[in-house]
Amino acid sequence: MSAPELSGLLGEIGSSPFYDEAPCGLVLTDGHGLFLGANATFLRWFGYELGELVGRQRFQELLSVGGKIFYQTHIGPLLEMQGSVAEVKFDIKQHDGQTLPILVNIVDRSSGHGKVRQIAVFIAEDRAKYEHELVLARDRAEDLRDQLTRAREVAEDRALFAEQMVAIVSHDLRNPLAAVLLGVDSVQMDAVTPRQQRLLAQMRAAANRASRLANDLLDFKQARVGGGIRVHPVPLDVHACTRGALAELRLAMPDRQLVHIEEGPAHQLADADRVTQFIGNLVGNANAYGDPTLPITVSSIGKANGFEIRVHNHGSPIPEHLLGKIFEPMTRGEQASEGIGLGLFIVSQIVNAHGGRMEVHSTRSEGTTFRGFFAAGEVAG
Amino acid sequence: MHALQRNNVQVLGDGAATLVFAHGFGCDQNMWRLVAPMFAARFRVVLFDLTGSGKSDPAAYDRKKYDSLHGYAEDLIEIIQATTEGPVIFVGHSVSAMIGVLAESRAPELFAAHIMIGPSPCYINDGDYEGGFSREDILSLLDTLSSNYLGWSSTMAPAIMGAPDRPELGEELTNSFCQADPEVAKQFARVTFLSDHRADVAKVTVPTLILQCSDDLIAPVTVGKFLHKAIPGSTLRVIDNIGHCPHLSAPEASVLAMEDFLVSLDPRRVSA
Repeated sequence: MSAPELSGLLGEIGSSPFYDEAPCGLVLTDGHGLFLGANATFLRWFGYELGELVGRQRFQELLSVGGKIFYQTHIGPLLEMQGSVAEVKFDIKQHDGQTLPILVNIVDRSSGHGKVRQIAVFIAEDRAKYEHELVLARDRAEDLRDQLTRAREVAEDRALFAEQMVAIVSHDLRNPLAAVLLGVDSVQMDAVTPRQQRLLAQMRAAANRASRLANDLLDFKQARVGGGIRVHPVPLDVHACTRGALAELRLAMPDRQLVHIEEGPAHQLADADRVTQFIGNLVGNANAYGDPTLPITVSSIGKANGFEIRVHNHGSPIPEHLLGKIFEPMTRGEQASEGIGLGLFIVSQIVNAHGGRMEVHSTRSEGTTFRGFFAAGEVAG
Repeated sequence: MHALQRNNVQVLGDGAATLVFAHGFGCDQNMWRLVAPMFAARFRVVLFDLTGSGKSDPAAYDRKKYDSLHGYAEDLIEIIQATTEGPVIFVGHSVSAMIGVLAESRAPELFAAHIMIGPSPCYINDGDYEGGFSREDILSLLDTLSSNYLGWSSTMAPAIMGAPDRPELGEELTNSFCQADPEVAKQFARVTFLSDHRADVAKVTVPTLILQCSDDLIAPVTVGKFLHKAIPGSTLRVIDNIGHCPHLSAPEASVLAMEDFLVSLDPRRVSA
């Protein structure tokens, strides 16, 4: 642009106070951003003399390096394409080398003198501080989220490893335990002294307890990571099944009185081994926690739409704080010395797999009753 | 997801040879609106948006895949395979010139020639090599991108201020051009400006035009000269232009330089 053209253009703008003292920086450049003029506000804010800008500097050259790149990759093409941009945030270099955050609006217009660019500049220090805090807060939040995600992944890996380890060990323990029991049986035929007989009975009881524990751990793993305990329901006589379970239990606890009550229709659909296991776990608990001088009562109650197994014992009630989580794994009674707290978890998993539910009722006057409702209809598993 | 949808691929014109245009960091295929139509009479012209830019499928953006230019090079190969059989003349602006170099080294049979507009194999100064920027400069760009995060308002400017000299601009265009998810934009900026492909450019085997602007902050003349030396048999053409997008600000000169290069190519090599 020639000198007369330039002075003509600036003459059009005039030296009106509306321009010079406007409450924002106003800049006029050619189509490449080369300064043609700037108002007094702009010069005062950023410390420049008009003479060192006009015809010498491009507006974008006053920006931080990041701003210059952004101008080239985004703002330049946008101006070419749509002729204006608004609310763009930059850092501008002041005359003394300090930088200040600014917001700019830019419009390209064609004039008699070719393309001119009008730029309005606002200082945005407070907005920049606020945004900076927001960005920092967001970065911190993202860091924390990443840390949490990593910690959770590590914990899940460890838990999975531990559960698989438990399952493998439990599985591999069953064969040696079976061998021990077989050995005890065959030695018992030759045992003569009462002391030998007593020791062998203790060995059998210990090996049986270890087998139950191994089986419980396998069931636990199946319930936790295998999608639930598997059951294979078949038609059965629920009263006969309960009778059989109690006969076995009487052998294991000869000093205990076990009472069986039968009610309602006997023919039901259920997994006989699991029902036997269910009764065994509940009676085992009743034996461990109930009043040893009073009988344990097991009721098998046939109904039109399934059946109920009820196990009752006398004695101290289950503490209130345990009642709510009693079917969760690793919950143990206060005087428990045996087991790792899986018995009731497995009991509830067996009922769930039969499409039913558990209830527990425990008071000092009435004793403790566990009720398992086995559904007759669709069977899960 | 098919490459044609993922990268919003558009095909114009017809001809024996195919020109594939790839935009650079910042905007989308609309960057080619002034030059692409000039070739559509004699060539098949393929336009697309890099994944993460323009109207590409946002769901296709995978932070791992696009953590280097190789992810973009994979996309380019799929786009070429989906649109043509013969080798193409690849026109890459800025970072896309390097995407083309990486794609050629993986699938040389798909490339007949490169036209590189404002290319740079490395933006960071390194010893004697003058890329133009320091690492701190690039971090300051990431800051600028962050602080222009809220609302992407610059693209809404015509709605606020009017587009006085652009009555022909459709609203659709002004709302999408230069718009990208800010997190994607920051990762793309990092990948673009912190990458170093100086060793890769020596592997280019096809005729190459380096279209260098006389005054370009992003790809200075020294970088154009470096590339000319590094790419065997390349042509360096400097055009008089201030800025990094000559195809927008000096479309006639850009087309002229490209035409000169295209007529110098062996026609047997560039047609399917």
